[in-house]
Amino acid sequence: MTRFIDLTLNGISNGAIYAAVALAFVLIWRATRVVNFAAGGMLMITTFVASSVISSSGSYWLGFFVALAAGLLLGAVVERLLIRRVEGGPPLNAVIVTIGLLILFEAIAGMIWSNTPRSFPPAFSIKGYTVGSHTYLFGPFDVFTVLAVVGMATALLVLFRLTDLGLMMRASAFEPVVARLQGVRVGNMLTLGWALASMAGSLAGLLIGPQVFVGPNNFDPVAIFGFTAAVLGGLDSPLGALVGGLILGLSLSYVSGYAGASLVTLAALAILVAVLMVRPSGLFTSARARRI
Amino acid sequence: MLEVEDLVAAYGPVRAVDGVSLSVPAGSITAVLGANGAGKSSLLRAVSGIMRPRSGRVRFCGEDITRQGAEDIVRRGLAHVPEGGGVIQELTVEENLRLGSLARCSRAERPKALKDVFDLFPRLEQHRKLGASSLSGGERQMLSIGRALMGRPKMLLLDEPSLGLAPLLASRIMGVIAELRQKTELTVLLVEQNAKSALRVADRGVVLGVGRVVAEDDSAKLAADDKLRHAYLGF
Repeated sequence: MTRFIDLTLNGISNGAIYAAVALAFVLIWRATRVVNFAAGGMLMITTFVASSVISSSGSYWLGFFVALAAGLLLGAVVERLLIRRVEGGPPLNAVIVTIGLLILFEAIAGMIWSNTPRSFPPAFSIKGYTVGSHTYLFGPFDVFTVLAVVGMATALLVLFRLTDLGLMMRASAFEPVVARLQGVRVGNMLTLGWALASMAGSLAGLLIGPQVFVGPNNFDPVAIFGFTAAVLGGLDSPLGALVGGLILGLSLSYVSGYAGASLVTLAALAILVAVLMVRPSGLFTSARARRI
Repeated sequence: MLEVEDLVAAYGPVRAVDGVSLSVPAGSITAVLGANGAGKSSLLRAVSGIMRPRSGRVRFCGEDITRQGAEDIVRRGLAHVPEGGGVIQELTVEENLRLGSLARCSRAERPKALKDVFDLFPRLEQHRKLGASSLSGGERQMLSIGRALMGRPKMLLLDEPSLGLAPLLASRIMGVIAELRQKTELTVLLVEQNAKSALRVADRGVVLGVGRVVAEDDSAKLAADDKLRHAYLGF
């Protein structure tokens, strides 16, 4: 029983991280109808930035917030410089650009920070809480992880649902031409969508960094898990991203605990394939048909 | 209020609007009539900035807006209700309306603008919290006109507001347009395929045939011109 509780807690904590990555996919999909395959590369870059800031300044929190800001900036720059040119074209063009970008980011990161993965500090202790004689696989950093993701998701929800800016962003995502006719500067809204998505990815990078270490390719599995969670929830729905992340986190944790850690990636891909076959629109998507 | 001079707008090699000139006096309702494919919608799209004109000039309130984007043109008070209304189905009725007020209304003015629209279309108030996708065709048309009015425009471009509506609803929409002009001195450029009902509310009419103006006159005179009626207006 304690084993089951351990795996569940671990699944929730990892699920929160996958949910954050899934949000990065969903926000970009909603804004520009692009699957951003560079998401893993972008959050890798910002986590490297955090690592550098932390080691040179000695302050974890400085690195943390610099990484989030870097995420905002990186997302905005990528959308303005590259994605803007392929928006509205054949979907494959954008896909190829994002894949190219992923390769580019990984190469650049290797050149700047070397290909040898380095450790990354957690915000709080990763040592599990002890109850009675058992030390659970869930400690202060896991609490922080869950709270940080829930906090970010809540902030995004408030932004989208309750503010004028959020209304303009949603209008731009659903009906760009109609939004322009209401005076909305749609281009800016799309840039902001990418920026926020990239920031969500940065948060995920900071949270998963202590587990996977920071290296050019170390975040690839997390990106795949996040994408799977996004598809699971239906690429259109931020709420679906959160639930998808949680379901995937729990599933992978049970697979890892009961069937062996080596099967985790395989299990994620099996879930991805199964969702695409059985319910390609995801669990939470809106009525409108999807193109991918 | 609006002057269009020798406007050309094209999709690739096809000139949908091929040298159109017309002027809409302040406070008037001007109908743009013509068959399918005459270039009526394209004319509105080129005026409102969704479509970039190839040549010619558009002036609104004395200022040249030819090369401006749609988002800037609507901020000047020229609102375009596109064909089919362009209601955003994923948003609620109230969110659609709010969207129309963001660019031109200060926060303090918004409740009043919303109340005015609800007075004009009580149905929208009943359904304010519902998703716009649950509205009927007529209610959607009301919502899209209401949304344009939320920005307190000086002039409305209306693209086939009665398209696909039952005759009774269509004439109600026309009635609302006439009522609006009386109450608010709104200037309207109204595109319609149903020439008969459009000429009933309009002061003036412009008849398009394949991208060009073939006639421009008072509504009564256009409606009385048998040749024109048979050739272009279909009634």
